[in-house]
Amino acid sequence: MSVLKEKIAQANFQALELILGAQPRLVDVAPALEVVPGMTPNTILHSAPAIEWDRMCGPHRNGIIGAALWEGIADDAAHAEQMIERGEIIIAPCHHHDSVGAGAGITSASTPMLVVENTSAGNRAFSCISEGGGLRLLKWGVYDEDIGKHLSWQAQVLGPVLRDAVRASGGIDIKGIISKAVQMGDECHNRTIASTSLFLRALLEPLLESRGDSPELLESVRFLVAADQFFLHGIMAAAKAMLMPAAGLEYSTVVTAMARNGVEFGIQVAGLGDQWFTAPANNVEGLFFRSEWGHEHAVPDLGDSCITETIGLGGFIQAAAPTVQQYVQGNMQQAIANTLEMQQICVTSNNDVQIPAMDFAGAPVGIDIRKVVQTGIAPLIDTAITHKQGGLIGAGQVRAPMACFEQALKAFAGRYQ
Amino acid sequence: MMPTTATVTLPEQLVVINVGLELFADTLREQQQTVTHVQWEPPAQGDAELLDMLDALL
Repeated sequence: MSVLKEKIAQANFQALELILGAQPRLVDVAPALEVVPGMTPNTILHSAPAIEWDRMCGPHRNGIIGAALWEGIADDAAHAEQMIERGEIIIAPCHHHDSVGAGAGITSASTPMLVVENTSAGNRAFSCISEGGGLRLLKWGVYDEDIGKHLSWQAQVLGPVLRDAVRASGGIDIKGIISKAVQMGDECHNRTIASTSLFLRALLEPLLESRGDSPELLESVRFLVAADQFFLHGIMAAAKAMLMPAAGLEYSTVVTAMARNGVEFGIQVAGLGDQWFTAPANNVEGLFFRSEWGHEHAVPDLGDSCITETIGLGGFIQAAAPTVQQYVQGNMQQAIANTLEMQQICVTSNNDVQIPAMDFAGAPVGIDIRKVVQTGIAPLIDTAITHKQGGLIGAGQVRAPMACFEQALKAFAGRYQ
Repeated sequence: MMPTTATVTLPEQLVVINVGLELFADTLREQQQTVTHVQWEPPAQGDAELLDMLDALL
C-alpha cells in the first residue's frame, strides 16, 4: 500500500473512532439566540447548502419571510423581501451555525432549540424543536396566523417545559434511544415513532418532577403524545454532534455532512474542511399523500435531515423499518438489498445500530467518497416530499447526485496527491 | 426451410434480481412481478481521470 493510501486508511479509522465513539446527549432546550453560535436577532437559518435569495426554492423563501413576520422583524412579506435584499435580514445555512433543520430548516432567534452535547469530544450541535405533525408547518415553508400562534406557543410554553424537564433529567442519552428504536422498527428518518416514544419515556419522570400538575405540562404532554415524529430533530442534532469532531480531519475521505436546499445537494468531506461540493438535487420518488399531487408540484430534494443517513441511519438501514417501504411500493427484499448496497460505500458497520431482519448486522456507517465514485452507488436517502409553494405533500426516497462525490474526489486528489 | 423458434414458459412466480439498468425492473414491476433491483454502473462510470485518481487513492 502506498504512503498516501496508508494515510487515508489511518485517517478514516480515526474518523470512524470519533463518530462511533461520540456520546450525544440532549442537555438543554433554549431559544436559538441564547445558544446557537453566531445567531443574531435578525438572522434566519435554512437548510444547506448556502444559496442566493433569488435562486431559493419556494419553501425556503416562504419560510424565511414567515420567520421574519413571526419574529416581528418585518411588517409584511414585501418588507421582509426588501430587508433580505438590503442585507438587513441575514440568511445562512443551519450547518454554518452548528445546527441542522428538517425540511426548509427555518430557524430564527426565538426558535426553541434542542441542545445536544457530544460528551466524548465536548462539542454541541442544535436543531429546532419539531412543530408536530401536519402538512402545513413553517418547516415545510408555510406561514399564516395560526402557524404563528403555534410557534409562539412552542416558544413560550412547550420550550420552557421541555427545558425544565431536560435539565431535571441530567441529560438524555440519544445514542441509546437510537439503538433501541432501530430494533423497534425505526430507521430514524422517515419513521421515528419508536424513538419519540422512548424519548417520552425518558422524559416522563423529569416532566412530572419539574412541572408537577401545571396546565402547561398537560398542554405540552397532549402535543408531544400526538407528535409521532417529534424526536427526529433530536436525532438530527445528535448526528451533527457526532460528525463535527471528524470535520477537518486531514487525509480522511469520509463524508461529514449531506444537505439539500431544494435546488442543490451538497456534501462536506472530513479531509476537505467546510467546503461544500454541490450538484443539482434529484427529485424524490415516493407516495404523494393526495391524488391531486404529483411530481410537477414537488420541489427537488430538500432539508438537512439526511444528516441521519450521514451517520448510517434512514435510507442506509431501510431493512430495519419495513413500514417505510410502503412509501415507495417496496418490499423487504429490496430494503435488505438497499442496505447491502450502502455497505459497499461505507468504511465500516456500527454495532450500536443492529438490524434484526439481517441477523442483527451493524448499520453501514462512514460514507467514503472513493467507494461512492468507484462503485457508482449513490447514498440512498429516505425523505419527505415538499410542495413548490410550501407544504408537505408526500414521502419517499432519493439518491444523492453522483457529481458531488466526483467533484469532492477531484478536490481531494488535487489537495493530497 | 422456416427458422425454428424456441418457446420458453416462465413459471407463474418469478424471482427476479435486476442488475444495472432499472428500466427492466420497472417494466416487470408494472406487470406486478416482484423484482429486487441492484444498482450497478461501470467503475467511476468509465471516466479515465477519476479512474486514475482512484488508482492512487483507493
